[in-house]
Amino acid sequence: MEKKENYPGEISDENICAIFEGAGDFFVRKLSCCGFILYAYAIDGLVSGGDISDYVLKPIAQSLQGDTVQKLYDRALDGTVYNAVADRCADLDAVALKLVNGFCVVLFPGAGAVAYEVKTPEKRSLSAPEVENTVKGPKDAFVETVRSNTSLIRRHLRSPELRVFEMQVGRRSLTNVSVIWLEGITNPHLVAKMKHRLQSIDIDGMLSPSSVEEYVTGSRPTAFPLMQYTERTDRFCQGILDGRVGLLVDGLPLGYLAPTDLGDLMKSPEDRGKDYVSASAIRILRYGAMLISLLLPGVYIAMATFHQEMIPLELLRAMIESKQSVPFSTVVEVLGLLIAFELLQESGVHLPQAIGQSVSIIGGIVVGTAAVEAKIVSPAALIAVSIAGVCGFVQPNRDFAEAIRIWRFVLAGLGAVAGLFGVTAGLLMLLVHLSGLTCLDVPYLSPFSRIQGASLLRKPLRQDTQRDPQLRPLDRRNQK
Amino acid sequence: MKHWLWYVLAIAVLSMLGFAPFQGTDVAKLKPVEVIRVSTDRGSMFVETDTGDIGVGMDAASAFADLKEKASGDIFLETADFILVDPMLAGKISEFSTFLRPACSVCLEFGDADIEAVADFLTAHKPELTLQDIAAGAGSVPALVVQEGRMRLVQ
Repeated sequence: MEKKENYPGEISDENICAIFEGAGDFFVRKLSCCGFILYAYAIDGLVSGGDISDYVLKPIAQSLQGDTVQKLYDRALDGTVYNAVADRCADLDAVALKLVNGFCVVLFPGAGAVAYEVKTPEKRSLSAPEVENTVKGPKDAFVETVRSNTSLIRRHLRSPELRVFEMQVGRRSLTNVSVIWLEGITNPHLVAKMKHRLQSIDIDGMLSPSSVEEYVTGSRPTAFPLMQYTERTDRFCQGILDGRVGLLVDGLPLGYLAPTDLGDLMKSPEDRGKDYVSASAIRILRYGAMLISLLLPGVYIAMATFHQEMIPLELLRAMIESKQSVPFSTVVEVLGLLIAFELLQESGVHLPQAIGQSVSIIGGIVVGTAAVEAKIVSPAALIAVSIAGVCGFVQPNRDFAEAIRIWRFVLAGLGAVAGLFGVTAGLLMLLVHLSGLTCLDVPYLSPFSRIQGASLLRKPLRQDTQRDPQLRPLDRRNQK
Repeated sequence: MKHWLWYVLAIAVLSMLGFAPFQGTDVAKLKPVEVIRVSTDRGSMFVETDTGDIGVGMDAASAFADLKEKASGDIFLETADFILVDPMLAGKISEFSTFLRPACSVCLEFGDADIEAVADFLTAHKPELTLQDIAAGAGSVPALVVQEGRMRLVQ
């Protein structure tokens, strides 16, 4: 792909200053060295003033010698100015890019420019994952700085075959993006496809998770996540070891893994922290919870409206009795409760944690109980919606749980219109929809396409000797 | 996906306007029946429920149809646990299985039981014969004998 030049012209003091004209945090320092005038540029806040003094200005003033600017430039590049990183800037674009990435650029007029790394050490320190709680696993989670994240990955995966391909995405944001894979394991086709997708992105800024997910996966009309994200480094590294491609984006405390299928989204990193019997049992429970979360409101509406004869007699009588004083139909009741449940969840997300918990308690328990006592809703409908909601929280992936929440509404609507026939039709629609989804050419339902029912369970590690064949890894075996 | 949304919207609109091919009845509107009494007088068949609704007809089909038509609300016979049958209609019991669920217990009624109070008595004593058993040709029909307001079940 031909590189587009944003800033044409030669590297000169005028041109560099013109790029950052009006930027209050951009500063220039004029230096005198062996009778020649040099210029040092940096962006305040991105660089450390002490490091510029110690590792750029001091060596230039004390050690750099030469009778021409070209000699000064050559010596500055070959180590006389002692700094871990000294990069030659080929053009104005490179100068601008280095400056916005925390480098100090020294201009040798007529000879060229050298960028020295003097990034400020200010960044968020490592902390435990906040969303994907860990009981027995490692407590280090990704942070917003991509370099810190690559170092975390290197600490978990010390393999020299670990590859990190870096590039900038976003015309204005120039966001650093890293594609990560293991040479010799990950299929090169997957890596090439991921790189191609990233290179074809032409947007102003890649600042939000959705811009990563939608542009990389192609803005499919689906609520289901086509990339798996994680804030846990152990989960990310396990994905890389499995032969998947990783993606890190500067500014996002997340790591993305692709391809992703439904089976991956139902796995929790905690599964590997337990014995395989417990982990498999919990995974079955998770699948059951997913079905309950998806189907219960729709089936409840269908049975209460169309198929009362299918309800056990005692339960039906109790339902009829509890519904006698309720002024709303079952459909309105359940859909209303589902909407109220969504509102509660949404309010909990946007409020500070302490207040959010109070709102959840007030909304869920106090208002719920009061609504039943006031005979605005029947207890059975409240129980059905609550169970569906709680089962939704069992899903390890929040995006997947949200997709289930949307389809829960669809199935509830179809159940209200056509009873169990409608629910069944909706389920078939969902199945067709999921069957059509792929991520980097791997079908979304691939875990169910093989005649390996047990692959849904967590195998004993000694028996889990093969990597997922759908990923077409170069090395199928992961142990002897 | 967009096509699906249009279909769903169309079905929802049809449903709201009452043109949907599927018409349900909300569970709140149902009048659940627990006990049904079937009797005969001067050639007519009477069907009475513990909800206080009565249907009359020349045969079981017309009597049950009349019951559903005249009842205040949607009478729901699927919850009926017991059917009390006039001894004169003993030969026609199998006809009732068309309208009631097969697990409904059957008794021949001798005397005049209070239909609203009989459910508790029958729930406690559990008549053994059901409509399903009768359709299979098994057993003799238990009798509910009412004398001076006291009930006795003869199995």
